[in-house]
Amino acid sequence: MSVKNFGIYIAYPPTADLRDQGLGRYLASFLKGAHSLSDVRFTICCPSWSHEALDQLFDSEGVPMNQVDIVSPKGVPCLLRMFNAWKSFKSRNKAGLLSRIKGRVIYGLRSAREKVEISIAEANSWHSVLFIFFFLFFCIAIIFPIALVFYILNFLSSTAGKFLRKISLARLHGVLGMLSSPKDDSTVLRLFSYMENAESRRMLKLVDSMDAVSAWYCPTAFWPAFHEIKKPRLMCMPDIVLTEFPSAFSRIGGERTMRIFEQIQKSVAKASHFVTYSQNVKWATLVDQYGVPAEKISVINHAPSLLNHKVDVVGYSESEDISLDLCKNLLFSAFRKSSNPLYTAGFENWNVDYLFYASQFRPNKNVIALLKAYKYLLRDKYIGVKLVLTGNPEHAPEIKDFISDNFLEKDVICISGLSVSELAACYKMAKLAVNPSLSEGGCPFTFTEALSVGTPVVASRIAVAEEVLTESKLQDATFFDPYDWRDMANKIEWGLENRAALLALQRPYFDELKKRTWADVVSEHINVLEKISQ
Amino acid sequence: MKIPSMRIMWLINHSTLRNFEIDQLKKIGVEEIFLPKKFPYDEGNLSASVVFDHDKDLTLSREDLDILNAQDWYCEPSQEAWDIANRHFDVVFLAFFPRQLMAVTSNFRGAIVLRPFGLSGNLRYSDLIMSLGGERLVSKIIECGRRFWFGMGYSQLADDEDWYIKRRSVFLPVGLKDAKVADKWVGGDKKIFFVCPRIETSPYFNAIYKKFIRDFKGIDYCVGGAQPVRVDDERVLGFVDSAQHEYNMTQLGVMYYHSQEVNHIHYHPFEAVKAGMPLVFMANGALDALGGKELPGRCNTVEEARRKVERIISGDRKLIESIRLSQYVLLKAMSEEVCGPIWREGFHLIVKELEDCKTENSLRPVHNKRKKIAVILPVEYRGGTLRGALSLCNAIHLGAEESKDAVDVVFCHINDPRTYSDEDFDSLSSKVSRRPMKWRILDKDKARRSMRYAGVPGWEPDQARYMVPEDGIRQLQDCHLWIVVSDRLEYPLLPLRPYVLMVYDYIQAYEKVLPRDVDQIFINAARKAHRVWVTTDFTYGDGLRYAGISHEKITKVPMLISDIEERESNARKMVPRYFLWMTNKGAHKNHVNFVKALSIYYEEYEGVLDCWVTGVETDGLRDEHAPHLREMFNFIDSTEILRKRLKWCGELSDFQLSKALKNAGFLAHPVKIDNGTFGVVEAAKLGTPSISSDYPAMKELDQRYQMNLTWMDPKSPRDMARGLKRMEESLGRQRSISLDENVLQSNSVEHQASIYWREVKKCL
Repeated sequence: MSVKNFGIYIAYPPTADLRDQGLGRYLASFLKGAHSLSDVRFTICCPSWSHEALDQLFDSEGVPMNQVDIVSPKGVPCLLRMFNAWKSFKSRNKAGLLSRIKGRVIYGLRSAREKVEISIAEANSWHSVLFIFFFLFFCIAIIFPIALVFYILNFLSSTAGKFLRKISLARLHGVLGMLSSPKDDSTVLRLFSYMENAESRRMLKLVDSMDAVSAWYCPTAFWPAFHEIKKPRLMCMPDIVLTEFPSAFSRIGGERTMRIFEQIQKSVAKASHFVTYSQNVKWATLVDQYGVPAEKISVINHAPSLLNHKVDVVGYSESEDISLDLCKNLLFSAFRKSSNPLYTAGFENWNVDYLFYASQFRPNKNVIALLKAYKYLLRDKYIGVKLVLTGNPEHAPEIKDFISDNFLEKDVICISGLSVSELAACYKMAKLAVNPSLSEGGCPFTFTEALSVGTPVVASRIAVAEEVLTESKLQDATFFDPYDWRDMANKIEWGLENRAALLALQRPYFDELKKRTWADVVSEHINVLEKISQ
Repeated sequence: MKIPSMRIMWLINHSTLRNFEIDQLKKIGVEEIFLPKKFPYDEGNLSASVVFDHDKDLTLSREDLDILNAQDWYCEPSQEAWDIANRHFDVVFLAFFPRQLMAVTSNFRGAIVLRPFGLSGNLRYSDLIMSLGGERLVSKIIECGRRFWFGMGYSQLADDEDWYIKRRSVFLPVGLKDAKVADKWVGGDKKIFFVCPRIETSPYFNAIYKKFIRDFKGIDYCVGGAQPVRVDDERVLGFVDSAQHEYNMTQLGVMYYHSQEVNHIHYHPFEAVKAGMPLVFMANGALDALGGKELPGRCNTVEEARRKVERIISGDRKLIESIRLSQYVLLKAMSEEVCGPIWREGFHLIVKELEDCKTENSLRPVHNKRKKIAVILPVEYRGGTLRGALSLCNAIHLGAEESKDAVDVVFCHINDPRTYSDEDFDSLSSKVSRRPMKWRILDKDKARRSMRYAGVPGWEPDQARYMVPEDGIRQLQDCHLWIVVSDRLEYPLLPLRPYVLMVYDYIQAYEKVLPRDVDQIFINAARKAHRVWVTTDFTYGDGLRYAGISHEKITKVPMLISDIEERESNARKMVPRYFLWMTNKGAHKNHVNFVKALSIYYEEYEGVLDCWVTGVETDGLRDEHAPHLREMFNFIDSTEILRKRLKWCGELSDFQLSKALKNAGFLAHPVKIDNGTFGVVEAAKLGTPSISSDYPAMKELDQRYQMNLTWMDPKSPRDMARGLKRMEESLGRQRSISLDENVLQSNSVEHQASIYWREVKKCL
């Protein structure tokens, strides 16, 4: 049986941790799905700096590697090695040499004083006491000059520092700025850009040498260099939310985000074949906004994201009780990651009722509307549930301010950096999962993630969700108008009051959806890759 | 390949180009071609003409053809004309006229082929589209998707253009129908023939003319080209008849072509080549790409050109013949043999993609695409402005409903619980959603990024700050049109969506109510709006005159009277003991003159009625520091009778106000100037007459509602005092008035809704 060999092109910059990127987990799921297809091999071409991270990612995600090769140019660029060395240096113990010496001396003196006090207290003859005092005098006579020198040095050091800061030559300032926060410095960004371009060229040479690979797939539109590959190419276009929330995203990431946007535009202009997760992105974004012919775009829906395997307990008669107990422990550990540790550290009620929305805080996620709906339910309708979110309010000032201005710190719990198990537990223990998002590339994972652990869902009525959840009765029960927080509140209220009925209604659709697997997703990708290879 | 059964609108009037391109279309099999019968006589159209020759081949009804012929296709043809165009035609060709381009991209549903022929210097079409048509034109072109084509006349024209132009470029070479050397030239008249139109009306051509005069000083010359304004140089011929033209091309000694523009070439050098006249031309221009690089007539410097011209004029046959015999290659580059196949191939691509688009549309998933209109109250207005905004929302929604158009209306107001409570919006239709918002200010870098993300390439900020609505959801990006009720925007509105500005007045043209720099911001907001709506002829005139808004942009829409039946008090009318003065802190409210008038009314005319003062924020007027209010209160405080007879009611609820109006002897409206105050209409509805300052907007209101207002001179306290006394004395005779129900009905939201919806639709 001949084996089909396809390439996957990854070109994340050095600072990106693949384990934190959605794409990393997507890739892992994709390759696990490919495992069941015995006549397929994937070769991943990645930058030199990503090779080890990919290995670690696949290892942690349990991706079988017998059908996967990872290739990358040899040798990490020197600039990156210098940068990494500087990062390590910066992250060391920051106390200065003088400060460390000072600390040690003070510690030593304190110990010595204690010993002297003990000795005096224990002395039972005047000779002993006299001896102790002579010894003390002797020590002071020696130490005092040393301390004086030390004090003068310290004084000079801080004065010089103040003087330097005062004169603050622009270049000196710039260098200091560059060293302290390199990823925001334009010089560093430029150097990294050149480095990435050079690495792209090295990768291209590698790709060109791989005759066995019949077509290439790139899971994102961030890397226009992908389109220098001469073989048939398929590029995934998840979505371009910046276009739908231009002013909101203009305040995030500055020119760095702008450059990414420009890269995406270049990629779209150069790409010959596309994959999207939804009809909506195909037509509304690629066809209507970018004028891409519809025939060049294939729509391949996600496979559902299931979490039950992280919290299901098997082989015991009280499996469900044990599972709940496990989930409580996981919820406990999740709460320890909250942005309000003073409150959550001592939290004890692990049967607490709460709504759950798992998402980062981004402009398209519509969190403010959810907060307004929640506040109304809590304070006007007296529905006593908490709201648990998985974003970091430090990255979203409006959300942080809303919570603070409305005294919701103890009812809106923001927890971030969750493990997959903790995430599963949060879903399972929730009364209701909510997804108020305004824009996604495909049907949000919330539906399948929540229902996989037996929690019903209410969500925004958006085109990508309507594409997958098509039945009108299901839609009426599940969807709310994301532009109307009152409608959202009404739906949440109804969902809480009719939890069992909602779950019973949604479960059959979930059972149907979960029949689709990552193997199906991979097969469909392969079909497209084969088609474009002909 | 022939393409029958296709109709083309070739909306260009350039004579020479028409001859070639119509020929190409005919060769492809297109029989039905519509040509415009009007064109603007402006400087860009001096080679234009109208022909009716192809009308006979059009298989349209006579009525439809008449409608099409009556349009000025360079401006804004009627909706009816566009409907006919969309029914019958598949492709539109147009040249670069931004207004025409906006109209075509907004209205035509087939393929659109823009025919650019090059610009001077480093100018780009992308830049001109942005500067002349704004982000709206850019968006319209992008929205056309694969129906839009940049049909460049020269193959390099798209090289430096923005992506949305570049990706849609197709080469349709400029050709000459009859590109053969006729060789009629004799050259007996020893003059240079230089073509330079518009010498006195175009600084660009004026500079070229002057340079020519300098460079060829001492050599006799003739200058051809249309001259809208006569040039004080007898050698400049201006418009010539065919006989003179024939003479020029056959008798004049040599043609000199100055242009070194890479992206543009004129027709006249080719006419010279056709006639056999020697052509001396400057190197590094467009002729180089057409085979001119090796020609003996090519000159690297002006000195070289002068030497060659002198030699030709003095009869250097060797040079003359070497030029004449070799320059035919230029004509060949423009010939049917060279250009025709490329042109037809380009057109086939256009047709193919049009068919693909139609197929694609049939496969498109059906999606309920409702339009959304945002009505934005940008400042914490209350009172009449708030009521007006709510009525506007209701009118738009009702108008759309009546037209069976799927539309959602969103009313947005400043999120300030101190200013607004839910009850303030009771009169808003339940089908209109309400969205509190605030303004977010963006610096120019963020503004630029926003516009780039929104898909508008080339937009550059010209101000340091911009404002965008922040509704906590999608920043009103889910709405297709923003209608801003008032021009009082502190910063320019970032044009992420087209917006209409509702301007009620330009009081600042008459009263010093605004600092100059602030006023300019408001004026700029109106100039940048897609449309400006006003509700009176008076403000319409001010918009044209004071704000300098183009008349195509400004529209008068009907005033909307809010339904106050539900506010009407059931209290019995009592014998009036007071009259009502509705005011606020605005300087145009004429406080000082009116309190002086009140003083005269009480002290000299022995007025018997108290004066009840009410209006928005009147509770806190005494705490205000504005000079006109301080002056008013100083006067009141020093006039005992006023202290006794003035009653400060503060801001009344709608119920309290209607009760107060009903029982008042009359309403006094001493305002200096504004857009007309609806208080007098509300008073009339409740049977209470009014006395008003005499100014144009109130005259319009009186005419509209037929209230028979009594008038007074707002500048004269004594005249106002007399007026008050007259009103008091007439109470017995004219206690109550009533408004004609038909008049009320005709001005109601229900009656005017369709007009508003029609205006909104023009903007979508």
